[in-house]
Amino acid sequence: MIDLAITTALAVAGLLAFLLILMALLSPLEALSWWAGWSGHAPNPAELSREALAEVESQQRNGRPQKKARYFLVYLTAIGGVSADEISYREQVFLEKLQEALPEATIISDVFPFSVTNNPLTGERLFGWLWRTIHERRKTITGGMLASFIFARNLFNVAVSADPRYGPINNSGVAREISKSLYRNHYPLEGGVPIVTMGWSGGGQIAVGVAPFLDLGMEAPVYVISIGGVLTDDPGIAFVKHLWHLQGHKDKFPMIGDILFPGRWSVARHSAWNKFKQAGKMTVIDPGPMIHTGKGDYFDPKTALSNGQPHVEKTVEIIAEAVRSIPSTPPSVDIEKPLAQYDKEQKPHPDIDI
Amino acid sequence: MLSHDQWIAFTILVLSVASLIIGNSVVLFANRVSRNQFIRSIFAFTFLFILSIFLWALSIQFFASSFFGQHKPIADVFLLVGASFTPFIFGFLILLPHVGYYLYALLRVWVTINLVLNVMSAYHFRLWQAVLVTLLGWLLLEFISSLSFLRLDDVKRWFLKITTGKGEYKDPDDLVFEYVKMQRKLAVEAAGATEEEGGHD
Repeated sequence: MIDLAITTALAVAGLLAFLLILMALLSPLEALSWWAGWSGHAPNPAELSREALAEVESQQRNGRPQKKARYFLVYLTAIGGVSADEISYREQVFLEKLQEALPEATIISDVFPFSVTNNPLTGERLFGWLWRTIHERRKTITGGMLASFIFARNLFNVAVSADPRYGPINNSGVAREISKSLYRNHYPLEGGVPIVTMGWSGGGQIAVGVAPFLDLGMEAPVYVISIGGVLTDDPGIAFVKHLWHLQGHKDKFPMIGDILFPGRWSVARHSAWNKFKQAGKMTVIDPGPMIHTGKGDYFDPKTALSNGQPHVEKTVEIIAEAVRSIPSTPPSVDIEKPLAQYDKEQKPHPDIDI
Repeated sequence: MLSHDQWIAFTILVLSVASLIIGNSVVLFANRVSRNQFIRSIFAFTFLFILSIFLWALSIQFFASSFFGQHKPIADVFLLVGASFTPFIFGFLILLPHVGYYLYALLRVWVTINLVLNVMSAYHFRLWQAVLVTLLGWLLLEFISSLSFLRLDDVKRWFLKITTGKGEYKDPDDLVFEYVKMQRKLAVEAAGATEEEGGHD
């Protein structure tokens, strides 16, 4: 009987391990096949400006008043997300409060950071039915366990974004979707207005990863706010003007980045990450005893600090202050320097030649 | 002719190299090959890689014979060198994000150690002799491939062109940055167009 139980447990563990390795192996394929045009048309550089132009023309025709935002904030959800449209209630509350605190900013949250085409997990994709089923049953006990697959899938996508081989392709795709959303929200085609990418947990890596492509593709100064972000050694950080990293002292998840990514180790003095820190471009803020996710996290409106301030309000206060410190006149854009650092940091692609 | 065992060894070598090429296929995707070209590229690059292993075996045979007077048939040397590459059967795992990169480094170290040990045991060499012969063989290949008058790059491009339909493979990062810069250029032009329209209004 015990033998049978052990055998079954081992078989289940083996099957799970196999599934996870398979998921990890397939994880770069979404970005790669998109780029290669295997999943439709290969991305066309003219498409973005064409869509932006159509948007501007439609807004001009309809005579819709355009809000002149001083900053554009892009919120990127965490690895538990299945779609940009279905972020949690707490995140929605956070975004509403942030908008109240920053009326001069336009906040967008309609980009799913773990897809190069902004295609939700529950959208039209090969395993869309599976993600929909898991997502629907998430609140039940078995569904809760199955939801781990959503975390795993998105976590692998974070690894794809951070991988020097796949990162540029993946991050340029996500940046393209962010650009589309920014243009839809009246971001000027001529660029120049500060963009603040704001990522929670795994979204923190994506927020840094897209920086070079927003900087080059939109001629915009890019700032990053990481909310308990798991930050890697992505050389894209060379393009970030400033990074604010919020890490509650009960949140240990961001330490994953400290350990797993050699470019973040203090011995790698010349890595983009360490040069960025040495240049004083990073501010680490401890907002209090916040945990990574769940009750007592950064967006919790019910849990309060010792002074009675709810967590979500503290988070909003810190972020609003950080955003207000961004100069209206953007720092001059010197592309060559960060580009050189980026090239230097990119590990050479394995050569399949002889 | 190869014996039955030698054929098996050769088949394993082909599979290992193909697995390695699949693991490193990001270059193919980045260069936007079609599905059909992808499959042909795997075959073409596998062939080229095996050819390079054969040439390495030839140079090892040459140095072993010249320096230490030991001679072995080329088929044997080729298969012993090829056998060293069998760890690349796990090459497809290089596709794994983040870990894949380090795994590749690990596999290369494993293959190098394998090669030296195989040369040592096949030729009954001491360690330094095996290292010397292997290293010199590799250096000779590098030297020959750097001789521009041989136009090996052109030959390779020609071969890839006729087998896969694509002779040139660019660096993925360059392709992405070219794309983003072009995207920006077009957006600037579009911005100019809207300003002009605004002016006319």
